[in-house]
Amino acid sequence: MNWKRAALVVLAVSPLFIILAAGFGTNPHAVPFMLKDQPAPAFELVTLDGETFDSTTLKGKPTVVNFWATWCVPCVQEHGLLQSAARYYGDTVNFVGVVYQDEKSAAQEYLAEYGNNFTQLWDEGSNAAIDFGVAGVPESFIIDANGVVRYKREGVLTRPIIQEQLEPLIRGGG
Amino acid sequence: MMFTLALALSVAQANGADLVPAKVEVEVERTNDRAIVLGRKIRCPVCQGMPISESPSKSAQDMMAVLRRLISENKSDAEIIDYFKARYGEWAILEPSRSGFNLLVWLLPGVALLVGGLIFWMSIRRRPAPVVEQSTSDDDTDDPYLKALRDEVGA
Repeated sequence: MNWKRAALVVLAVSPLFIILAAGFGTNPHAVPFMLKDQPAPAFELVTLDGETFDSTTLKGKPTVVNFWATWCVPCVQEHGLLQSAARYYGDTVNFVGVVYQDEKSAAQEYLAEYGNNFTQLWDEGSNAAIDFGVAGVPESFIIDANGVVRYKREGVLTRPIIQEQLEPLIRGGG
Repeated sequence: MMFTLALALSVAQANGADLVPAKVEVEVERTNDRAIVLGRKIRCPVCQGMPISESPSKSAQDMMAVLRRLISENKSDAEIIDYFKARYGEWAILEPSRSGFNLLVWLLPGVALLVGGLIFWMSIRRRPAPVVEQSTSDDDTDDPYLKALRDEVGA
């Protein structure tokens, strides 16, 4: 066997294998978490009740920002968990829902039917969603009391995730 | 665009040479053209590798609206690309920047071509010349065709 030629072929092909191996280990559709440990984008939106809401009022407590829509089946599955989490954590955590690409009336009707005990915002033009880098729903962000984004969840939140992410922030006050 | 420009100018002339409407029309068209060119470079987050300028999804349309707003705020192309990159990362840019790891995308095809060409050239150069078999004997009278030819020409 011509070892010199074999070595040359291996040398030429190995970079391709390294690149492919690195690529197969990642999800090409996953949007990078650009806000990790960055200040949360400031926003001023209107609640579904028509009141102006300024995100600066969220500082001082950990916050869960949840982007959702009535047409999104996983969001419907998540709704009950978020409502019970908001009741459980009470005044120690802010829960904020942001309606994503939906009809305002559909969201209002949905919440009237299935219940709601936290602030729900209307994001006209998806400006807040774009600022958060949202690429689909449900998508949630956990922000500490200083307004720094600590965690992003693409998909449905679960009870263990909420506990694991929120409780250190509540205990640490940050 | 030329058609719109001509149309806008003719409308303006018909209105007593007042060029203000034409200017507005041309500016809107120019903004649209730039928005489409830039929109082709930004990936729609809810589509399969489709730029926001070509996607009918609401997400892409909202991003195009933001892009147009940034153009109207006189942001440069680089600033607009950076705006989306800051929110969605390099992932959102359909034309990877020519720096860092992305350089591989631009350099590898050329390098592969060079290496392939070099290997091809070396293999050609090293190939031994084809050996032409030569008869070692002068005795060619056994060949019936040659004999017939010689008989005919009287050799």
